[in-house]
Amino acid sequence: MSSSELAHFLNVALDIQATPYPGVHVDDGVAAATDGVMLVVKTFSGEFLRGEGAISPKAAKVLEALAEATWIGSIEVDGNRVTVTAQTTQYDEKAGGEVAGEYCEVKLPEFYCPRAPVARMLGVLTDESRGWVQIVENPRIKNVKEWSVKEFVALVSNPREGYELFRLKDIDDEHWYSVAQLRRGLRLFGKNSRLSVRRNAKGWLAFGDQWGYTFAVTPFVKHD
Amino acid sequence: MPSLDIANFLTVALDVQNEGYAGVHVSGGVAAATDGAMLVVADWGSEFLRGEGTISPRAVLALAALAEATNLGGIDVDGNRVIVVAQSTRYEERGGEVTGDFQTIPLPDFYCPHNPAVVHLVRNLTDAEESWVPLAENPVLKNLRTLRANDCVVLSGLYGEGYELFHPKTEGDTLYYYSVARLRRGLKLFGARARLSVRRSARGWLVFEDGYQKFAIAPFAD
Repeated sequence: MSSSELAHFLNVALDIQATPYPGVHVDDGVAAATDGVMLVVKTFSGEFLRGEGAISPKAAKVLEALAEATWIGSIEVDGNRVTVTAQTTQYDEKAGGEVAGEYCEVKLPEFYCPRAPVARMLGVLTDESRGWVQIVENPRIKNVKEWSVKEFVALVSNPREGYELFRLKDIDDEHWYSVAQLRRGLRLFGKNSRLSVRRNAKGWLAFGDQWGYTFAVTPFVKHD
Repeated sequence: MPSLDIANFLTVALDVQNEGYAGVHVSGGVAAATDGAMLVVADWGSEFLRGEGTISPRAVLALAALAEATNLGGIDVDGNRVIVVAQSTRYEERGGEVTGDFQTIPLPDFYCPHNPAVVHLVRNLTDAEESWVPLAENPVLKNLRTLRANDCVVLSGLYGEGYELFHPKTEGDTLYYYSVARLRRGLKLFGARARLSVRRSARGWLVFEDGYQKFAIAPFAD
């Protein structure tokens, strides 16, 4: 009866977000968090996630706990003000125990959090001038889970469905990625996610799935 | 300025409480959680913790997150209803994020049964009939960190300040012994700088306390 997917998204978002973009940024049904290098995004229905603003890390933690505790019916964001509807529980004599009750409004304390240009960040992910190309559907990323977090990896030369997407970095690679960063962002996706991977001309990678989750990461770049 | 002590108590309480005694039980400014064999208690005073009732594990989760996030001005409990007063923050041009006003936050009502046995357990901690005797002030508990969680320990018998309170249980040891796993879980209540006092009852219960928080544990008995 908990909103465990919302709780999980907030957990990953809280891990990713950092100064100068603290918090979870909301705009038109989309929630995003970034540290400037990684970006996690979830597209909710506009009915579920309304308004525009920044949910501070403090409020995001409380929201995560509420989502872990119960079903969240909706979230309304107005600047730094966050109001959620959360399902109560009650005792039911016939059932002999706790059953779901009505939804009630919970206004979280207002915590200051600066706004970030979310729309611009998200725009980068779909900006055609940046040369995004689809590179593979549903690749394997098992290696990323096994290699040390200190390792760096690069894309295999011909990514294919069902085959490993990454190999360990070579000295000649032009773009490479941190295993630690990849692991943190890829936590976003569940076991049943069908991943679609895109890359842009600057080496950014974007992982998306059928549930509206996106994780994008910037590469380390070779400078001659 | 988060209420970290409160957040820590609630986190430990959530770990300790279980079905049968679910939730955090509030009465007379005192919060308590138990599984019947361990008991954690915090006396926050009836000005801060008002009312009487049971905070369900779901509400405790949210309350712990609030306490970790900000300063709590008070908690009102009425049955399963919990209302928290929590400090907001706001932007100030010269100082960046600064503390703001206190806001009243009613948490969603979550059902949690009231169990009178918890009040009874709390009362036992000061009951003269339990024949509590002080054992040690500020003992060393290092063994608990180095032993395995599924080991058991007995009181060492050396109760001076700075002596190890426990040693591993061996065959033929005293009547009462204690689970390392349980001791570790309950002792998380106390910070590294806590000055612990330890008491024992005639039935082998141990109580660790640092002023306003207590952790009590029942023994295993051969």
